[in-house]
Amino acid sequence: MLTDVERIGAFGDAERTFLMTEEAFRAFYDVTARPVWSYLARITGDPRLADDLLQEAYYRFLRTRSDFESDDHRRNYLFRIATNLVKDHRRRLGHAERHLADGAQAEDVSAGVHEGDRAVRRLDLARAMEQMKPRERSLLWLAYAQGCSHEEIAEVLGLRKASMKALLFRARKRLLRLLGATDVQGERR
Amino acid sequence: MTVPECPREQDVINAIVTGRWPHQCDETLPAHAAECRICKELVDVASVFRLERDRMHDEVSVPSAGQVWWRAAIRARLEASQQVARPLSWLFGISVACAAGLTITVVQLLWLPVQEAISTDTAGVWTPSFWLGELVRLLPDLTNMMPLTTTGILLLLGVTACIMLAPLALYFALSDE
Repeated sequence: MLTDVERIGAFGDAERTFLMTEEAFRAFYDVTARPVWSYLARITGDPRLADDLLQEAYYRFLRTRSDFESDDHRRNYLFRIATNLVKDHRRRLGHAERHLADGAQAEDVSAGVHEGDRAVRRLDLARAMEQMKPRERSLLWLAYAQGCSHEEIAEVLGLRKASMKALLFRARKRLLRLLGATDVQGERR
Repeated sequence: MTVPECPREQDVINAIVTGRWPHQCDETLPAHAAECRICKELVDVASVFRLERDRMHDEVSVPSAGQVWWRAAIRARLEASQQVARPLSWLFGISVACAAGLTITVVQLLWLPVQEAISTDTAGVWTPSFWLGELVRLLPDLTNMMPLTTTGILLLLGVTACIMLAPLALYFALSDE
């Protein structure tokens, strides 16, 4: 543990330890914190875990010695750290991916859905995402919530760019099937 | 697997993600999306994602940048001090082992005179002058046991002292504040 004096000293040391100044960090954090948190919360399905991983992601980012070509490159690097943290967390817990069969689970998802308004649609999305593989969640979120290009997604997830189109297409189709199943079920009710 | 694609896919996604859809983007884009099956599907999916993203951004309360910076600074400092302490612990361990070895050797050498003293129970055995005399008497034996010259003994003593003092010196050198 550090003493209070050491804690104060740590604050002064930080700019020497990290490659970024505090001011530059604040600017970067203000732009990226919410998107990264949303990404973490959506792919883990756990907001509290997202809080912890957010702090860890920024710590690792600050400790990095990489040079960044652009702001986009820096942001993508942060998303990559976040993705790896989630992977590590899963590995540590030994979680088997909760990849459930479309049919039966889709019916569970629809429970309680009444009208096809925006709020319900969002709820449907949240529930459908929970049933998807972690990689599919990441792909879809980066593509359609963050607006990342295929190159950027490949960089963040450590995948080949050539396979991106097919992976994204399959993930989107699966999501639509899950969303469609909830709509149909909703109409029946 | 052949993936159906449209050259305007990314334009549609960008317009939705940046909030320009449908009125502030290229006016041909909504018209195109109404006709194109792929883009229509993308509009459905991306719109839902955008709603969800906006909701999450509005509702989440992330810690302030200063707080995250502060925690990171403290953790970096803690890790740095642990890193410095690691070789110190090693050196300390080695010097403790050396000291223990030296102590055992000295005790072994002095054990015989102590036994003799106990058995004969002579007066004045427990005085410092007795122990000094015994040490002086044993010094030639010591040099015989370890085939070393006087310079060698001095060198050995110097190295031992360095090993024992190194952790202390390192501690003072590295703890600059």
